[in-house]
Formats: sequence, C-alpha cells, structure tokens
Amino acid sequence: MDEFIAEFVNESREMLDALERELVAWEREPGDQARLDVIFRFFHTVKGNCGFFDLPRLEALAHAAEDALAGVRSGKRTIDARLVDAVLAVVDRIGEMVDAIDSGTEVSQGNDDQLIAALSGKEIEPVAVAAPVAAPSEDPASSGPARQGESLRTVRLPTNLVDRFMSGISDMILVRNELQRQIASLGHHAGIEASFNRLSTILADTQAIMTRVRMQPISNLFSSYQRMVRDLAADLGKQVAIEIESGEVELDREMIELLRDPLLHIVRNAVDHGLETLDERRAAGKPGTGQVRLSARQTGNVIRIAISDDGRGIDLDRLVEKAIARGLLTREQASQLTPAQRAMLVCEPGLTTASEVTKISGRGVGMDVVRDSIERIGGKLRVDTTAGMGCAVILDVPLTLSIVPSLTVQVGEQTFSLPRSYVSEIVTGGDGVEAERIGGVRHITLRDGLHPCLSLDQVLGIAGHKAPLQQVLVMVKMIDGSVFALAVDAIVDSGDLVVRPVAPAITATGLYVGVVQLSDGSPALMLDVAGIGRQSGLLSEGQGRLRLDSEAETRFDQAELLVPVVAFAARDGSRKAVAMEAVERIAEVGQAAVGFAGSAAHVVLDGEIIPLLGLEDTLPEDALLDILVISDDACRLAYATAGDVGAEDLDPATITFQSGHRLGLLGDQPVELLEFGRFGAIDDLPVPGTDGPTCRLPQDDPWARDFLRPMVEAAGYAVIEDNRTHVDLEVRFDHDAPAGAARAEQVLLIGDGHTSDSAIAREDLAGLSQALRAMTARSAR
Amino acid sequence: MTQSVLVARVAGERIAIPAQLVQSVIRLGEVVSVPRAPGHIAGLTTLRSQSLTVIDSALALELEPQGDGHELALVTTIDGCGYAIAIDAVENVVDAMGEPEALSLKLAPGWKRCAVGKLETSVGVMLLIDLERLIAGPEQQKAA
Repeated sequence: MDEFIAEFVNESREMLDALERELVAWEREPGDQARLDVIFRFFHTVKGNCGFFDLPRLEALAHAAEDALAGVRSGKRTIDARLVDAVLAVVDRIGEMVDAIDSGTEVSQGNDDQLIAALSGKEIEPVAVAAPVAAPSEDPASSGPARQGESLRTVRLPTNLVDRFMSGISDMILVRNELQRQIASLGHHAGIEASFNRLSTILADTQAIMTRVRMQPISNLFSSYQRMVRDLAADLGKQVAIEIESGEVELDREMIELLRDPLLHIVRNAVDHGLETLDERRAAGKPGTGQVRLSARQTGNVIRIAISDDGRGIDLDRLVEKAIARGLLTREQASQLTPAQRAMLVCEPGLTTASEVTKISGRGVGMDVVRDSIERIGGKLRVDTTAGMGCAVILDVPLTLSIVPSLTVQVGEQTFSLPRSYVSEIVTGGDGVEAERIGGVRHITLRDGLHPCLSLDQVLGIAGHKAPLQQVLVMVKMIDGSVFALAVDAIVDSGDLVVRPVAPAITATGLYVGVVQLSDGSPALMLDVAGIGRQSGLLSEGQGRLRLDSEAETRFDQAELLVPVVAFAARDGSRKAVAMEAVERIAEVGQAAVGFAGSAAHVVLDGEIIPLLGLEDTLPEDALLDILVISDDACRLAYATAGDVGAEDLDPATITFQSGHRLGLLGDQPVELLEFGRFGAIDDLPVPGTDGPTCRLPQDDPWARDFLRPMVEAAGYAVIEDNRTHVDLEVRFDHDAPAGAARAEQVLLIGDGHTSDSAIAREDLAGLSQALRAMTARSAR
Repeated sequence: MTQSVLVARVAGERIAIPAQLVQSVIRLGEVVSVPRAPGHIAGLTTLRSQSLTVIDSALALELEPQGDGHELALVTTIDGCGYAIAIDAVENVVDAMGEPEALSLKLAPGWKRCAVGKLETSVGVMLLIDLERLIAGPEQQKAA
C-alpha cells in the first residue's frame, strides 16, 4: 500500500504543478470554459484517488470543489470572485494535505468546513469559525516538501534512458553473435570459449531483466482495479464480479501508465452507472451480481482493450436529447447520427445520462478526459451499448513497443512472423487434408470442416520452395471465428518478439503490421493476418472490425461451459462418466464390504450401508473393487468401476439423448453420462421428480430437447410433456405464443434475438442456469 | 542563413541533402526484401538494433534501376521511422552558397517531385532534394 500512496502523492504533486498555470490564467479569466474543465478534472481525479485510499477529508474537499464547479459548468452558478478564491484555497489545502500524507503527519482539521462552506456559496458566519483557524501545530507539518522523498522506494527514470539502455543491450547481443562466428572460425580454444559462454549467459540474463523493466503484463494493470471495484461495489451496495481476461498481452510500461487513469475512470463508471442496483437487476430478470469484464487482445498492430458491463447500458435517446438541450448539436444533425455516433456523445464534456449525481462519478467528467488521454497516445475509443443489456468501452491503443507471442515461418528465402494469438493449430499438408478446389480456391479438410487455404508465397508474390502437398498449414482463426489455412514452407520458431512499427508505405500494403528482430539480428516482417484474409476476400471489412470482441466472449463462454467429469471403465465394458461435482471421492473396498439384499447390491463404507450400483448381478471376483462415492444433499451411493478412472472436461454441446441414454463425447469417444441426485435420477432409484416442481418446455425443438432439458432437470424440475397439465414453470421462446389453456406459475422466456428485453438469450447459458435456480427457489417456497 | 548540405551521387548525378537530417552514413548490410511493397522500397535492414526501411533513391526519383550497385546509405528518421536511403556515393559535406532557387528547367517527373530547388555550393550547382518526398516515392504521390 505504501507504494500506492507514494504514487498517489507523486501524481497529485504533478497535477498540482501542472495546474498552477491554469489556475493563474483562470483567475484572470474565470469564464474560460476550457480552463474550468481542466480544473474540474483535477478535483475529479483527486476525489477518485481519495476514495481509493480512504482519505475522507481530502475527498470531502475535492467533492465540494467539484460540486461547485459542476454548478458553473451546467450554468446553474455564475463565477464570482468569492468562488474563485474558495477554489484556489481548496487547491492550496489539497497541496498541504498531500505534503502531510507524504511526510506521514496529519494536517489538523483546521478550517476544512469553512473552505467547503465558502465553496457552497453560503454566507460564512464568522462566529462559527472564530475558533483557532489554523492550529499552530499545523505549520511545522505542512512545511512538508523538505522531508519529501524519504518514503520513496522507487526511482523514476526517463523512458528514453531506458530505451537507449535496451538498444545498447540489443547491440551487444549482435556483437556477441558476430564474436561467436569469429571464435568458431578460430578453432578450439577452451579458455576463450569459457569466457565467451559466461559473457553470453550474463548478456542473456541482462536482456531478460531489461525486457521486464520495460514490459508489463496488462493483467497487472487490470488486477489493480479489483480492489477499487470491490470497495466501490460495497459502497454502492451492489454485487459486482470483475472478470479479467488479458491473455498474454504485454504492454510497454509507459503505455500502461498512460492507460491507468483512463481505465480507472471507465471501470468506475461501469460499476457506478453501468450496473444497476440489486433490485433493479432482479426486476430486469438479470442475475443479481453484475459483471464487469476487462479484456485485452492484440489485433493487428493495436492492443484492443475492452471494458464491458452487463448493466443498463446508455439511454441513447436521452443522451441525444441532452446534447441538443446543451446546444452541442441541432435536432437535424442529431437525426443523422448513426447509433455509434450517438453513443460517442457520451464523450462530450458535461454530458451524462446518469440521473443522479453520486459521489463517485456521473457529472459527465471522465469520458471526455478518457477520450482525450487515449487520443493523445494515438489510440481510439469507441462506445458500444445496448439499452438494458450493457455497455462496452473499447480502446484501441497502438502497439508501439510490445512483445507479441509469435510464430516465425519461412517461405522461399524469406522469414516472416505472425501473431500466435491468431493461430489455432498447425497442420502438416498432404493428401490427407487436401480437398478439391472450390471456385478456383484451394481448400483443405480438417475434422471440423472445409477451410479455404491461401498460399503465403502467392499472397506475397514470391517463390516458395515447397510443392503444395509438402507445405505446412498454419490454421488461422479470424476474429469472427472463421478459419483459413495459410500455407508456408516451414515453421522456423515460436517465441516472444518485440514488434516495432514500420514505415507507413509498408503498412499501406495491408500485409504487414510491423517489423521484428530475429535472434540472429536480422529483421523480419510481421504479417497482418487479418489484412491478408481481407485482401483475399475471406473476411469482409465489416467482419474484421465489428466482431473483434465477440470472439473473446465466445472463447470465454466455452471455457466456462466445459463440464468437468470423472470418466471410468464400467464393469459392463462400456465407458461412463459422471459430473465431477457429484463425486465425493474414489474409494477402494474389499470384497467383504460388498453384499446383496435380493438383487440390490450395497457396500459398507465408513460404517454406513450405501447402495452400490454398476455391478453385474454377481459378486465381483476382484479382491479389491474401485468404487466412486457419489453424494449430494439428498443421497449417497456408490458406483462400481472396472478401473481406468480419470478426470476429463466434457463439452455439454455434444450431449445427446437420441439413443435413449444420455451420451456425450470425450475426445472422439462416446461416453454414457450417469445422473445422480440433483443431476437427475438414475433408473434404479425411485424418481424423486414426481412431487417436485414441474416444467413444460418448447416441443419439437432440438435445442430444447438436448440442451435445455438437462439443465431444467438439473435444476430439479420434472419435465411434463403434455399441454394441458398445470405446471410450475413454463419455458418458451419469446416468439412463440403461450401454450393454450394450460397454466404455469412462472414463465421463463428464451430469446432468439433482440425481440424482447426480459428474454434470456439462448447463448447465455450462465444467465439461463442462474434464472432457473432463482425460479426453483421461488417454486420451493 | 546558409545551410550545410551533404553531396551524394545518384544515377551519375550529384544531389544535395540537408546535412542536419542525415544521422549517419552506413554501408548497407543484408537487405530483407518486402514483398508487394512499392518499388522504391528496397527492403529492410538493421542498424544495430533499429530496423531501417531501405529506399532505393534511383527508383524513388523514377530513374532507371541502377542494379545492385548501392552500397552506401544515408540514415534519417522521419515521423519516428528510420530510413536508409541507398545512394551510389557520398562526396562531401559543404555549405550552400545562398538559398535554393526556383526551378526554371523542365524536369523529369521524379526530379520535379523531389527537388526543392537549385542550390549553389562550393562544389557546383545541384538540386536540393526533399527527403520526405523522396521517401514517399512515386506511388504515394499518385495516390495523394
């Protein structure tokens, strides 16, 4: 925490220094809107930081000042000399307090209240502040700067110094390589070789450290918001889950620092405004816990950072109305805006749709600052929002100096690199995968289908060395999920490379994003995979841009969806699996513990008799028997196996009922999925479902049959198939009419598109299962 | 104010380049070609750890290709990108005698595009070349 405080102190001092000139100018000309905005942002930032560090007094001051200036900005207040004085006094006081924090002393309460009262424009009653205004003890403490620096443990270096250091090391490595060649030509000389090897090791270490000095995984930055989100959520009485998906993206330290504040604003906005309160969310049929997602991905020559929430989104109509009311644009202009442009209005100074101003944000400050800061570093900001569904702020920041996990490939005489994030797999070419040409385009077959294939030598117009069947196929997964093969002569290497920008004339070809330096010091171009796909007509312009974020989304969902199972060889020779959640443990029992009562087997375990399933009718001949102990709240039972027990992940999308058994795919092997307890009932046991809640599902829909039904059953419902019975829950598609005369206590709508707000999208499985659980809880009551 | 210029030789002609723009003169090492790039971009090379885009000055001036004759290059940085401008030879660095004069001659398109004006120096009269326009090359010019 100390280092954060030190950061805060440094940052505040820097801001105060920068503010000095603005203040003087503002004092001369208080009507200057731009200056006012700058000063306003200062207070806003200080306030935000204070909330984070629990510095209530500073926060109160900054809040009061911000409040007063907000009044001016919105035209509710006019500027007079007294307000200017009051603002300046607060700035001075903030400076004193920052010094005090740095030196570890306390500024006595003094006249904060007086300052705040002055800001609020009320008459100051001299009597009330007649008490000693500045306690004498305050003075030694506030002469802080003399003691500053003691608590600093970090060194700030100009980045160009670090740059020069780093390129110096790179140069040393090149010289080292040259030296190595020369030593090799000298013949064997043990002494020189030993020294040379030591030099190499030291150099490699130094280089590794140096790289670390400049680069930081973006996940560090993302994680630093977790605490803030948690505290903020607690303050606001909301439940917020923050999700971080940063892949292996690393960013230049300097870039990270430049992004820190803008991102903080965005995240804070998402939690404060984006997400609804618990009650509002429930009323909207959303899970009570709001989601804020931070993701980063390298796409082409930019790092794309997305901050998204599943909150209420931005009310674009209201935003436009406000913009018109504030004279930012005319009604005619407004009518011509695209939805994207309308959303971008949120970045105009002073515009916000938040109906109430909270102490965290909501005065329309933030987004204009954010956009300015992002544009200053050459980035772009975009806002994507759907009313009721949430909001995503997408930042594209340039990849000026960043390390990209890459694949180096060879074509003919040349070497190229491409970002590994695009590569889904590498396939050896040959008859096995080669398919017919379709419309003159070469295609290849993989297990999951037919994919177009581009030969990199043809794309680049150079001569490759390998015949088509000998080529190596790099399977490239595009952002929209489509896959194509890029045929190259050979894969050379795979590793982290530093990508540097390359001349605009070269990027203008649309084939390259930058240049990297290979380990031998020679330059290699990094391919613009998306550009190549686009130029070859495999990807339309629109696709490349619009769906950039959805892929990360899908990947995430899939990962979440895989169900961990325990798979085992059953005693009838088949392979079966059971949800890992249901398995208490795997035990080994002796023959003596197993017994029969009639045809039902049981086993004695932990001094308890529990039913044993999965046995043939006779006692096993093995001396020891591997059993799975399965339990949930309701029952405990054992299942006999023939060994080969292992944990696997099962994709529920492969589950099918068609054969009358529930089968799923593990790899390419079908397994029977056993259901126990709340995962449904196994045939041998009495069905608990009859007196539990009942549910009707859409009929004649494969998705409902194969997918929804298991989920509904897992939630404890018995599925009723006729249309007349009264049920506890009816699940239906929002485009279907309610089922005739039959009644249902509750209805859950599944949406196929955007037809209605209360419907849950088919793809939103997490939402679906959460809604089901909520329904079950209600039914039980 | 007179400026000092670097006198280089391209396709048999002498050209003048503002000396303060030239960081160094290097002997070109291995040049990695850039497929599908505009013709005057000869490729990429490395100067220590920096990647430079190699510009073939003859092609950039829309002259006949000079074969593989370029051995020397002038290093310059424009808009944060490093370039190596391949030339035939470097003659001297001299002070210009006066300001560049407007061109009265009708020049070939490449020269016309890249030349700022005629410049008198202690070693004779030659064209002062604008490096940015040289680097932009013919294709870029057409597109603009």
